Formats: sequence, C-alpha cells, structure tokens
Amino acid sequence: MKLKDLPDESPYTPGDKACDGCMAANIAINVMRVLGRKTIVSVPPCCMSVFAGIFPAINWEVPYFHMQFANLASTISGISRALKAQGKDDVIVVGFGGDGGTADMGLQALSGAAHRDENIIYICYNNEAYENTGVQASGSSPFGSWSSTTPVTNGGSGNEYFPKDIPRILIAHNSTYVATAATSHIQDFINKVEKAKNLRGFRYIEVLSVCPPGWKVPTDSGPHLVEEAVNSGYWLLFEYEKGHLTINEEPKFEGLRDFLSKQGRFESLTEDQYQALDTFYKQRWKKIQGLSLNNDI
Amino acid sequence: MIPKNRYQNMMTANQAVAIAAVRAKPKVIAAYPVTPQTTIVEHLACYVAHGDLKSEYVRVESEHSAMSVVAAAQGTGVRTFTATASQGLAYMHEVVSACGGMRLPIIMFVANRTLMSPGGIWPELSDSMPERDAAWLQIYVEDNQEAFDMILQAYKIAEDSRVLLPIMVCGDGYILTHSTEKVEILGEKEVDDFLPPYDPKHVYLDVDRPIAQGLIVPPEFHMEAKWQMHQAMLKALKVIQEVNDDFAEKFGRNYGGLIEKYRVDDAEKVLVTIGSTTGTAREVVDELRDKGEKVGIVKLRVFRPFPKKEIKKALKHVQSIGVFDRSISYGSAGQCFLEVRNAMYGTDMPILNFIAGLGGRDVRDKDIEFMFDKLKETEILEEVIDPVVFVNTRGVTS
Repeated sequence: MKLKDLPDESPYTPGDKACDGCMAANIAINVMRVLGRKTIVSVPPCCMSVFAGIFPAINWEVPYFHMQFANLASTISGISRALKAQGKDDVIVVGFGGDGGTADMGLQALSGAAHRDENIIYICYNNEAYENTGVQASGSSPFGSWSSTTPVTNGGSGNEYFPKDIPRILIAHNSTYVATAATSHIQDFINKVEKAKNLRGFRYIEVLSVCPPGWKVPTDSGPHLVEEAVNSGYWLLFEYEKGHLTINEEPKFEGLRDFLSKQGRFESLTEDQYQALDTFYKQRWKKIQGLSLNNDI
Repeated sequence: MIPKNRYQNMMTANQAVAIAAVRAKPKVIAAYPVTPQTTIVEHLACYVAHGDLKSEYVRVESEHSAMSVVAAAQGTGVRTFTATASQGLAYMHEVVSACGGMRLPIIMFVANRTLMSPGGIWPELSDSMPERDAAWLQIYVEDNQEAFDMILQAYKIAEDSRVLLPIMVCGDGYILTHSTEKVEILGEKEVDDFLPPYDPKHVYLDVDRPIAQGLIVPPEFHMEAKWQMHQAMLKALKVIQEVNDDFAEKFGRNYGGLIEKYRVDDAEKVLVTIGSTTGTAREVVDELRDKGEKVGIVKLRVFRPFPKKEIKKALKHVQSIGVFDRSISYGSAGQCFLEVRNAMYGTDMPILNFIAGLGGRDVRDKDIEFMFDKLKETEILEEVIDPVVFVNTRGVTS
C-alpha cells in the first residue's frame, strides 16, 4: 500500500504526552494506520506506556493490555492463543516494546515466542537506551555513547559495550518474519508492516526511534538523523522471510562521523572509539550480508 | 482417555488436579515443569494430545511467561489453568501480583514446596504464603479428593461476579502430589451442570468493544480500585460458603466452607491446622479423646480471604489454642498463627505457634501430641512469653 493510500486516521489517536520530536509516537501512528482497528495492542512499561497509556486519558482506540516489563512477548502470545481458542482468526495481535524491554529483560519471553512461532507481531521501537527512566544505557545502546549510567569523563568513556543484535538473534530462531525499518524510509517501513500484517506466525520489526532528550539532539532533527543513520551503515535495512534474507538498502558508509557528531550523547567520543564504531558497523554489515548467502539452503 | 462418567480410581493429587482441569475445560493452559508440580502439566499434555481436552496448551519457556500467557488469555475472555511450585511461583510473582487488580479469575494449583535457601524439593508453605498479599484467594487442601473438588469449586468462586479474583489452590508437595489415594472423579455432564462454560460479563479484550486493562493509574484514581479488590475478597467469604453448600448438595461432599471443625464444640484445647497435616492431627485427636482429653482441630481451608469471624466463633469457648505453621515469617511468627491471633483479638486466650514440617520434615503423631501437651503449659504460665515453638528441631529444647 502506498503512503498516500493509507487512512489519515490512526487507531493510535493524537494528543499523547510524548516528548517533542519523539519518534516512537510516530511509529505507533503509522503501524496502526496499516494494521487498522481489528487489532489488539499490548505495551509493556516503556516510554509508550507512559505517554499514551495513563488512566484515564489513553491514545488507543483498540483493545489495550498493559503488562509488565519482561513479558511483552508472552503476554501477546496469551492474547493470540485465547483468540485462536475462540475462533477469532481475523484479529491481529501486536506488541510495541522499547529496546530495553526487548533486548534485555524481555529477551527470554521473546525467544520463547519466536521459538514457538506464536502468531504475533512484535514492534520494537529502538531508541537505544532506557529513555523513559531518564536515559540509562540498555543492551541496545551504542558503544561510546553517554547515558546517565555510562557517564563520560575525559575521553575513552561512555558505554563500554556494543549493542546486541536482536534481529540476528531472531533470525537464528528461524523466525517467520524479521525486519528492520526506519521512519526516513517510510514506504519501506509501511511495506514491512503490511507484509507482517498478512503473514501468520512470529513477526518482528525493529524500528530506529530517535529520542531527542536521550540522544541530546534538537527536537526537529529526528527524520534527517534516521536517514543519515541508514546512509552511514549505522542502521541497516533488511528483512528475513521464511529463510530468505533481503537487503532493502545498501549502506553507502558515508557520513558516520558527521552523524555521530550531531548527537550530544557522542560528545566525548575519542578517535579510538570512533574507529571502533566504524569497524563495528562495517563488520555488522558483512555479517548481515553473509546471512543472505544462506538464502538458497 | 478419561471416562466421561463418574468413576473412582487410585491417583495422586497431581493426577486428580489435572483431571479436574480437564473437567473445567480451560481454553488456554500454560505449562512449565517444576517439582513437585510437573506431573500435572505432563498429564495435561497427554489429555490434550489424546483429545480429552480441547485447549491451547502453551509450552512456555518460564513461569514468568506461564502466568503472562494465562493472564493475557483470561483477559481476552477465556477460562485458563496453570500450576506451579516453589521457585516457579516466586519467579512468576511479578505477574501473579498483577492478576488481582485486573480482576482475572485465573485458577492455579500450587504444589507447596520450600523456597530456598536452604534449597529443597519437599513440602513447606514458604512458596504460597508470601503470595498472601497478591490479591489471590488461597485455598489449602488436605487430601487428593479435596484437591479435585476444590479446583472445580475454585472456578465457580473466582468467576462469580461478586468476586472476580484469581485463586490458588494449594496442596502439600509429595504428601499429596506424589501419594496415591482413592479419588472420585465427577462425570463430565454433572460438572458442566455445576460449572457452566465461562461467559465473561466484565471487561475483556474485544475489538468490537475496545477497553484497556492493566493501565497505569495515578494517585487520584488508585485507591478506589484497591478498595474494590478488598471488598471483593470480603464478599468471597460468602461466595465460598455458597459454593461449598451447592457442591455438598449436588455431590455429597461437604468441607464446611471456610474452616472445618473436628471435635471442637466441647474442646478445651484446639489445634489449628493447614494442609495435609490435618489428617495426622485428626488421628491424634481421636486417640487423645479416647484417653479423655478434650481436644479438637480447626482446619484452615481458606487463608485468603481470612475467615476471621468463623475462627473467633469456633474458638471463643476453648481454653487454649495451638496454631500449626509449615512456614514462618522470620523474626515474627508463622503466618497462620498471626492470622489466628488477629482473629482472637480482644480475648485473652493463650495462643501458641508450632512451627513444624519445614523443608518436608515429617510431622509425626508424636509431634502433634507434643503440641497438645505444650498447650498445658499455658495453664500454669500467666503470660506466654515467646509463643513461637519449633517442633522436632535439633538444638531446640522446650
């Protein structure tokens, strides 16, 4: 479906309490424009549960279930199984989780749901830290970045770990559908949500989500930054469907230094750290590319 | 295949519980193994595979997910079942504590087992007792028949519109879960009659009628929800009794409802028991009665809501009370004792607390005799200085 053909209205309604420039709200709006009203949503504790899910003013016009931090995947599995038991085959079950709840605490439940090929859609809006609690590094935070638990001193500090690669972990589960997306490449993003909507089984889409307070960037910079993330190879666009990996956009590997320098969270990055990042993203690309070599197996 | 009609057979409590679940027809079951509950989910796997029960059997990767699956499924409007024990219950605690506030009438069997440390797989109530504040009803059973009967009664109680709270039916690990005794299995039709298919009338996830569950609720709306949960607990006291009476009338087994009294009416010394130990205590009471001692038992069947009035009414005429606990709140006392003493508030009744059977240590006839003997001391002592007595414990002199 073309962007212009999508309904203007989304079952995720306007008027949420997200920070200025928050991309997570934008992601929810667009995903729900595609999925429509025959959808049940669950959100664990994360930014989205706070800015759109506090009684009595919530932003969901579809059934909404708020559970706990570590169990988004098992919660939506339970909803999906109950619908199946009732013969309600036409209702979509979707969960929106942040990267902390997905890559750290929720990883066990996510792995279980992928393993069982539960009939669910899992959207991870990856803002690369526990932003909701005031910017603490998560398992998805980039190396060298500042957060309130990875303070910067005089060089060589910030986050000491590289981010976990959740899509690759889920591909290793032989999942039905795994994709990454970026709001800058909106048609690609919509295509992926639509594809997920029409498939049955475990479907996972991870979307890069700019967080202005956490990344220390201006509130209007999100869309451009995401584009730079894709061009620089910092964020890859690919999809894995039934054993077949497709690269949607070849990274140009241009402008990584520029992309990082625009973000306050990388302010204290040393040259050594930059080189480590550059190597990491190039190697990651090769690993993903390598997965496509298995397409014919 | 499980016979459709009423039948009797020798079986463990775990098998009785699994068959009770089949009779209750839950649409979603979450299964994860943990000793000594495991054979319940094994039995259920077979019953589902062989067509005794049509249900989504979800083989989850942890207890945390087990409770998440049943909570979300129940919230989507279907009857659910799961079972756990010990560390498994502790691991699912976070999700367990969310179910009451969402008013989800989930039924779970807990095969009571000690919670480490020290580690162990043997019976103790240190797994379910910490859940007493989680807004779940708690029913403790004495034998395998009661385990079967109370699973069915639990669904009826939990789903009552006056209650709408989850229930854990608890039974001592091994003593019940792995011991075989005769159990009467009620027929499918008569159970359907007693417990009709689940028809959720309150909130559930439905795209034609969108609602939200489990929301973050700010202070200005928070207390009312919790007051309602407390009210529902109090109303459950009446519902439990009604369901007990209904069950007794239909099937001829009357458990007395909230508590069961045994030779209490003319008793001078009464032991309050919980779980399978009641059976041993009943034997000892008969023996002591033969010797002319006026002793009796009150069996606690329901721990949440706590039957305060019934306890006080049953015990106000006695001279002293002993309370058996197979668990302890360290630095305080056994949980049953604390509740009984609270129920007896305003009387100057001497009450002792007997901690016994921890980590699965046998509670023998002579331990029960010791408890009744110890109560005699309350006749001489003006004041009970430390009511907590560890029974059959090395290094403890009493």
